[in-house]
Amino acid sequence: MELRAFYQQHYRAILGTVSVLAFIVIWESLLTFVIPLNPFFFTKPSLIAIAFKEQVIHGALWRDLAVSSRAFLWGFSLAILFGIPIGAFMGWRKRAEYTLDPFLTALYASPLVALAPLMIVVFGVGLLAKAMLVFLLSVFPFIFNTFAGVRSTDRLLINVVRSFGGKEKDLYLKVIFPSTLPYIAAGARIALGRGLVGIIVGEFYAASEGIGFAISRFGDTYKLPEMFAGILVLMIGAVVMTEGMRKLEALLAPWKTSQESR
Amino acid sequence: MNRLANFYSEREHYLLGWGFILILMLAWETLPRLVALPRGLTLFFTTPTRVVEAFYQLIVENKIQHHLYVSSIEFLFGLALAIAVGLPLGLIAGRSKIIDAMVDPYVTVLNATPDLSFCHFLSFGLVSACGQRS
Repeated sequence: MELRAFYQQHYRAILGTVSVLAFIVIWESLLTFVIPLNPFFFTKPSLIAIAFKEQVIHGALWRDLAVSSRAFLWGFSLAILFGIPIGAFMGWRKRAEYTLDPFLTALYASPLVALAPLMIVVFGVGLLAKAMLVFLLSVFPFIFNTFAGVRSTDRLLINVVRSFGGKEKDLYLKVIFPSTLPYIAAGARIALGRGLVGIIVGEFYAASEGIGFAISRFGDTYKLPEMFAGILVLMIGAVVMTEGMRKLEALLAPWKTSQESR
Repeated sequence: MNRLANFYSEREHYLLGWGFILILMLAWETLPRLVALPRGLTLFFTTPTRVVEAFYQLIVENKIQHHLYVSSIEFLFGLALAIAVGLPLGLIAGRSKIIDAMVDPYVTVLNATPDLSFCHFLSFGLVSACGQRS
């Protein structure tokens, strides 16, 4: 009976683990017993695990991760620094919205990763080009989400602050900023995904170090287990950051999370 | 004067939006004429008129249509596949709690990971497909 209650409580985690384990077991046994493994085209979990362990111990992966993180953090911070003020300005001043919206929408809608070669030509191979690419890709979610957040600020609250003698500063700090924060957090989650794409593309194109470069180098030299180890690291990082962002979002706006999808 | 002001205020939305893009284009076009760019940059610099010219040339010489066609086919095929797999899977996951719980880890992880990282694996050694040396 207790077991049943335990299952009822944690059935999502249990079933999720079971399905992932089943996938790994099937993958492993298919390539061990059924299909002879051609290491040039495919690999199996046990080999990936060995490669992963090797990489973690010898530390090549950590260095790559550090290099990529640095570029990512630079670009992402710049995106926050520019995106939020621009978005707030657009939300608050109608003419600013009219002026900037078509231009920024066009940029947001187009696949800016296509600019990767240009970034590398202009900024050179290395940190700056990657950071700029991350910035370009992740600034727009900040702009448009801040814009939407400022826009959706409750008029009533603004009028209340005004009629009780609040200053422009109070409007921003006490009403607009708090009500915009959950929108920004949601934007940050989207920006995160786009920024990661930026890093990977930048390093696929031209780089001498970084996690994307590691994946691409191992792929080119047919070291598939090592390549998958790199992808695994990327996956773990991406999931940790995305889920962390989701938690933060829930913390900032507990009333919003239930209605939002992925 | 009044009529001009009326004209403006009626279409302010579009005038400002398109005006801004136009001003950016003009600035881009005139920049190399106003200031001497450093030699290194002139090699990699272009202007809107030259872009339009090159685009026109590509169409006239029939150099871009084929690429556009290939990309469209690939895009449509991938989109069709995504719909064919994703729609039923989503429907089933929405109907059944058990399937939902079993699919959820994959959706969460793969949705968070930049799919591009699978590029080398999916292209099976066609190196140029992933950007390098292309």
